[in-house]
Amino acid sequence: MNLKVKLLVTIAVETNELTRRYGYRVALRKVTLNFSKSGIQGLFGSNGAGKTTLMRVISTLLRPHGGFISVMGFDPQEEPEEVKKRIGLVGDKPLLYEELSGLENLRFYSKLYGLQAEFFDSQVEDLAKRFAINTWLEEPVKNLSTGLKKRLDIVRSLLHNPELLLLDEPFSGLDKDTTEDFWEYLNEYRNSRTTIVTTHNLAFGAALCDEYVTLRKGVVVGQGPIAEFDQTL
Amino acid sequence: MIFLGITAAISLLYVYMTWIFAPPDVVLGENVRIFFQHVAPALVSYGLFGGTLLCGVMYLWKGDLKYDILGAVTIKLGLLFTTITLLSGMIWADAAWGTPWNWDPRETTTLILWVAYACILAYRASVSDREARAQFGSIFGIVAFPMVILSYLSIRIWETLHPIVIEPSGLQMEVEHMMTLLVAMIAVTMIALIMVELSYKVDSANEKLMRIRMERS
Amino acid sequence: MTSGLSAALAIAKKDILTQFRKRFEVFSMFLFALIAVLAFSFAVVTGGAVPQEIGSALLWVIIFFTGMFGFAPIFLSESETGTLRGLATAPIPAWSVYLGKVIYGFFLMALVEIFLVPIIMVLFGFSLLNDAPLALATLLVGTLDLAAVGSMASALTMPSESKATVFPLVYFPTATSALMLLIEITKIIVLGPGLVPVLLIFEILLAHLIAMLTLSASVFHFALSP
Repeated sequence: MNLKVKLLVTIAVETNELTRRYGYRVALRKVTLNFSKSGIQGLFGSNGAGKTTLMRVISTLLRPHGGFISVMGFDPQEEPEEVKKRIGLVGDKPLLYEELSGLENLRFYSKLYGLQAEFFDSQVEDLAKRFAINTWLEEPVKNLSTGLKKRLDIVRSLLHNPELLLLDEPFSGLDKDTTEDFWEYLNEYRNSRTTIVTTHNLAFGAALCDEYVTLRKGVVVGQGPIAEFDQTL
Repeated sequence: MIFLGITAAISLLYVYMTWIFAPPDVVLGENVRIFFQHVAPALVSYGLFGGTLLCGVMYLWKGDLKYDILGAVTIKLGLLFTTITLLSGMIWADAAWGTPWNWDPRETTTLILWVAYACILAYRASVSDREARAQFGSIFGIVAFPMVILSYLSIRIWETLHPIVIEPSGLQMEVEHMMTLLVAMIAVTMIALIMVELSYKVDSANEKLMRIRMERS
Repeated sequence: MTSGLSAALAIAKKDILTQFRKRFEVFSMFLFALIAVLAFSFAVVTGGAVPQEIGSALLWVIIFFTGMFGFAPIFLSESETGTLRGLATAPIPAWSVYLGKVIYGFFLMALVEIFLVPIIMVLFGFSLLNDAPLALATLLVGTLDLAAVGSMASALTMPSESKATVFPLVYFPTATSALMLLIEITKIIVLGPGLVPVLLIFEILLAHLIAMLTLSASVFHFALSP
């Protein structure tokens, strides 16, 4: 009991011998790691190392084929809804509907997350200003540039104030301004929210993150505080 | 081994009873013999498709690929027995009603059943990811099952040439024919079980081979 | 439960709104249905008329095939754009995603049927008004049943390599049972009572709908997290 309470307090994501296959290919091979609660956690590795797979297992999108995983103290398979309402997800493609306007998209997601109207309004006002999309909210998403779509997608992921933010290669294909805005935002919430960032750009990751885990071919090859991170690895 | 022996013995008995023991029918004469080759495979194929449903549920529940392999085997053999049913049914229909195909509801629904489960096989082949094939194939095997029930109920829904053999008042046939049918049922079921076991072994071995190959590359 | 239902309604509303923005999809479905009417007319028109029992049966055959166009993109569009992940990571039960899509599919098909059914009735020369309440109930239940099957079929198409060819393979086996029952009921409405009580068939249809909905809804979370 004591141990579990402690885990709840200090660990955001914990896995033990987690395995996931795609067909006959093993994407995660007995991955054992911890991501602490608070700070920005880096998940490093080259393409095909299993980063995205791990992110999807954490966000309940994929079922693990073996081992144990706990996200914010919950099993993503046993209590998916408890996990889902605590996480925010930004992936490679924006999770937006092209035909709908930005505001309609956000309102749709707020209904899925069961947000109160006042809370939704204040969140949209805050976040839209912060990410400089408040003048674009009425426009159908299909008319927005890639950068604006990304900004809108980030706002979408933050709408319900997630405790755990999962960012899968968030800076790839992002313009300079958006990157800076986002970076600044992440820094501001560094101590009040857990963020897991995957990246193959190690210099970038080393500058942003507090702790790191490195995956190679589905196996953990290193983890610890960023001070111990060796970029030459 | 013992099971194989018993099956052989019962199968011999089955051959003897259907071709020699069972008396010719009053109306249908010697043609009645085809009846046993028709009803027994039909019921066994229903059973096999029920097995598909069961394997689907088990796979989704346990996530063990062996249920999926078994499920695929039941589809294949179910199709084989449905084919036998359709063919023997056509021979029977030709003898009893003059044409091999009458678009009788049972005939139609059985043909639909054949196409439906063939569709599942074709669908499975189109999914290359092994786990996705197992998972979505299992779901498909479950949601396709109402068709089996409809096929079974079809003779009660539509006017049909098929006799309703099992009446509330009891079975409507001669005692010798009933005995023969019973033996036929047991024999075909046992043959089917042996075939399921054999195909399952072959398919699991194939599966293992694939896995070893993929892990090497 | 209530949050699941409101999520389902939100999903349906979102899809309907999208559909109204695009418009062409529902319009092309309708056009396809008209083409089917014409194509069938070449086969069945004899002496300037269509036999009633054939015309009434063709109604459902045409709806069945039109459904293929409407239902196939229900999940495929979401999985292609990646937005399915948004639905799959939202804190709602999986069945509400399915239910939302069924409601949308029903709406889409009903929209086409409002125009299609009277046109087919006039062109093929039969009337469903002999038993209007039953006809309406059959249209409602039948369309809902096809939408339930079609949504599931669309979800099953997602992992397949050849998505376009596979959809009919999935739709056909699961929808045919409903199609047979629907044709039977409609024939009875048009031609008058047969040997089998129509309510019995309607009950079987209803049972089929309930079975499809509950089966699909209860396994749907497996389709969302492979």
